[in-house]
Amino acid sequence: MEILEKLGIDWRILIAQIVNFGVLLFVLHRFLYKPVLAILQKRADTIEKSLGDARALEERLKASELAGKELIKNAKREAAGLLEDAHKLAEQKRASALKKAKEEVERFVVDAREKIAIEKEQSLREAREYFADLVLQASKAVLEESVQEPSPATVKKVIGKFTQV
Amino acid sequence: MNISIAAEELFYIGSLPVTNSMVVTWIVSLLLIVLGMVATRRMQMVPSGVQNTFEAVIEGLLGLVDSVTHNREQTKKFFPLIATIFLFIITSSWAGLLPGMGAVGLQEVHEGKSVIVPLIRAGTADLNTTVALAAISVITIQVVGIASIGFFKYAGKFINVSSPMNFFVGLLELVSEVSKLISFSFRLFGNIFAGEVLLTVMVFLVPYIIPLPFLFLEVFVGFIQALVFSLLTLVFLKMATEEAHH
Repeated sequence: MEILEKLGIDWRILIAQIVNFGVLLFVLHRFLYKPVLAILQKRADTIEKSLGDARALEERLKASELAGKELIKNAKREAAGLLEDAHKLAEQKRASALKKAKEEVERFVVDAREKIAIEKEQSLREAREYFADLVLQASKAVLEESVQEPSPATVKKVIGKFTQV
Repeated sequence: MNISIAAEELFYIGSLPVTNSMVVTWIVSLLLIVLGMVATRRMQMVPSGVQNTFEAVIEGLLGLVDSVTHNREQTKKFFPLIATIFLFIITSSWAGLLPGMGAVGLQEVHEGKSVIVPLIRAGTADLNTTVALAAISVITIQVVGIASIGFFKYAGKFINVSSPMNFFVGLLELVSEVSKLISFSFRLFGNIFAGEVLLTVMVFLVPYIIPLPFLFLEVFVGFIQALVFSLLTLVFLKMATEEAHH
């Protein structure tokens, strides 16, 4: 194989180079690739984990935000309900108070009317008695002067005529 | 100017001739090992310095392997070989671009003339290195193929007597496996060696400024060849794990 010799191929060197490469491969695999690949994997895992954590946190934040919103909405609705109830109650109270007042006033008016009627009756009666007496005395005085004393029956008739309304 | 296709022998260890390319591959391997150990000595979750550099390189290569295999398990299996091929080729090729690569050397008398035998020659500018890499790559492809789909199924890719047509296709496949060895090794060797020759000639003709663009070009070529070699190996590995569909 003269051509191999011309090209400088020597099987001893060839084998030496193969061995050299084999050693290099072994040592690099053991001391470079393995640890570096391991740390790359570890870092990738860490990053993935942190990303997952961040995502979970974000989700939790969103959920709590949503819950907060829901809470506020509920509270608002409740407050609105309470306010309405209060309004209704106030309205009721007002209405009942008004009604009571009206009733009282009415009662007052009725009482007053009754009292006035009674008083009027009384005054009338008193006035009638007073006038009867007055007329009697006046008649007595007039009749004493004139003819004779009328009979009590006639007097009563006369008074009755006066006092008849 | 001294251009030789074969790497120059510097000295002997026993009967093993030590060439300048071999020295460079040893230095480069040692450098990679030391740097790799420094990078992983005190690993930190927040990387800096050498660790950061190696992490970036390894992550990039891992992404590359992933993009071919689409399979994390397979990626983990193939990654060490592919990454080592890439790192070894790129550093070996770039080592030949260091300043003084063709000038610093041993003075030797060669065929009656005094020549300088350079101490540094790109590791991949020696066919021994590239053939060794190609052999590793091709043998690994066969082993992975047999291991993943079984010996008989894998052999069935090459020896198929179901029809004359399939038999012929099988033969072609067999030839292509052998030719991988040659194409892998000669592509890498040719590119890097041609770059060295080009730079030597350019420096010889115009020592200043003019060789610079070519130097950058060779940096790029070193990267591309490392990528091509490792990616082709990866693609062939991936193909070997898949059963033939007819």
